[in-house]
Amino acid sequence: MSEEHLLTRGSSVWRDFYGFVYNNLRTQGVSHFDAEDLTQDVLETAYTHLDTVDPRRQHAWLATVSRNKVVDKARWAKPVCVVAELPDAADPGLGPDDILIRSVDRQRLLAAISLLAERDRLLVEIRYLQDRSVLETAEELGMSVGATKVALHRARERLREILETTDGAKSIRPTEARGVSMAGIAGRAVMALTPYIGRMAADTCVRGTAVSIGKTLDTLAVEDMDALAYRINAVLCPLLPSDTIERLIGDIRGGVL
Amino acid sequence: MTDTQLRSQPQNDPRGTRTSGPIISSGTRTAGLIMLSVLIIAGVLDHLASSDRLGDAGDLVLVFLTLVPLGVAVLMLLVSRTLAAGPVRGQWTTLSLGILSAGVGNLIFIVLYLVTGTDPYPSVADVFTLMGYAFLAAGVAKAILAYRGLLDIRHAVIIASGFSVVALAVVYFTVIGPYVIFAPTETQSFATRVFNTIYPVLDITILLTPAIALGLLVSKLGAGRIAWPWWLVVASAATLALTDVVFAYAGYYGYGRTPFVDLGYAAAPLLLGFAALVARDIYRS
Repeated sequence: MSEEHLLTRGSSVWRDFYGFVYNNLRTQGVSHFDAEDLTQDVLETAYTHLDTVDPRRQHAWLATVSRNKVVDKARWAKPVCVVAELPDAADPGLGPDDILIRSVDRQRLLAAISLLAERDRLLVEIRYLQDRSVLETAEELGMSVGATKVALHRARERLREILETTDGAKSIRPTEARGVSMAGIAGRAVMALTPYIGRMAADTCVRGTAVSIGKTLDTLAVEDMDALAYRINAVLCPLLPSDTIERLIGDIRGGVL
Repeated sequence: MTDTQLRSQPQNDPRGTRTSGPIISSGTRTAGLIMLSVLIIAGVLDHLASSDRLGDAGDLVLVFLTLVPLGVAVLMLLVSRTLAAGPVRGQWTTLSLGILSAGVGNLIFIVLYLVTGTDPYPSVADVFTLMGYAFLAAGVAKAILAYRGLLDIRHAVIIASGFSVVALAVVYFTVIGPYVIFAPTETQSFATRVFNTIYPVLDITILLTPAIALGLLVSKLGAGRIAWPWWLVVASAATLALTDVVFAYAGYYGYGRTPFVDLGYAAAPLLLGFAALVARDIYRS
């Protein structure tokens, strides 16, 4: 369809495209506001290139462009770091780890906390999220004050590591982190792959699977295991021996079936 | 099932993460310690031999150090055979063939040295050493290309190429130019000059540069275990490059092989051998 023809048909064609692209993005789990922005991007691309596309395949082409825009956005998006609570500089009791914990954006912090081991997670939640004293935390968990302090120190260290590894473009949304800690298929896959290829690459691999089948990490389900296994095989085949990959996939399957 | 067997079984934590005990096996740790010990002892003996305090026994130390790559090649080939057939096995087999070729070159070198009593450099042995470079470069290139599915490899290659240009310039202006190419003619033969130039240049261009690109790529993986052996490969390439540069520099002053150079040439393949063992453990973990 030529640009001239498109213009002749007026805005109805673009309204149709807008609705199609917007709905397509929403089904991929994109939020309303992001979907609006991305739709504008897709239509901008369409305005430039649509005349080169077979009219019978325009919607398929738009769907592909939409998917690519979602991937690009996920890849290049910088995390929005809203400081929920400024560190109390006057508080002499605050160490570097305390300041870190109190200064990161709350969603990111919650996501990182959910990745901690059970005991570390409880410690951090009671001490920092419920803002209770060390003594109260110790009583709550049936530990001595000394042991609680040591355990808190280690938990903060682990939390710091998680926050540092998920820094930058690797910011985790709480829903994704919940998937990880609650043994959802995406979470299990990321957890299984991370020791081998690092958190970022593991996340990219699983997210890529989700996007390729029009889903998000949150909506990835057991029936998508074959797609996930195929993707893991394709990505890891040059990096790991086939028996190791099979074992990894077996681990992921074992956790969800 | 005994306690030991139980401990060796892969365990699953509540969140399903595979944690199968120590990633580096005790066998690999022991092998690493043996390699390090051998290197240190051989270094001390080589130092004594270079100052003629070991008499004819000094040649045995040189023979031993020269044959290290051959031993490492056998080890790496055995490790490669334990891996399932596929691209990963191909990468390690290619690297093993590189070390094997260099090892054969060393074997020819030491035979010629013992038979003729003169330093056979350059000689037919260098043909095998150069073939070794081709295999090693191919192995590293295969490893780089393996990351295409996960990472954008272009930036790493561009940065490594930039490093290559800078490193070549530095080596040229500090060593190759003044001490090899433009050195007084009586200190080195033409053939020696050619090979003293070729080796550092090859080290930097086809070995260290791809290795650095590989290092940059694997560094993007953060805590990914599969990066570990490749870091050792990078260290091996860097060791070899440094040793060749020192060798070229020492040649200007009339030294053939010094203890530092002998150790460098042994350490580089040992690092590769250790990398293969670490890789095997990681693939099994």
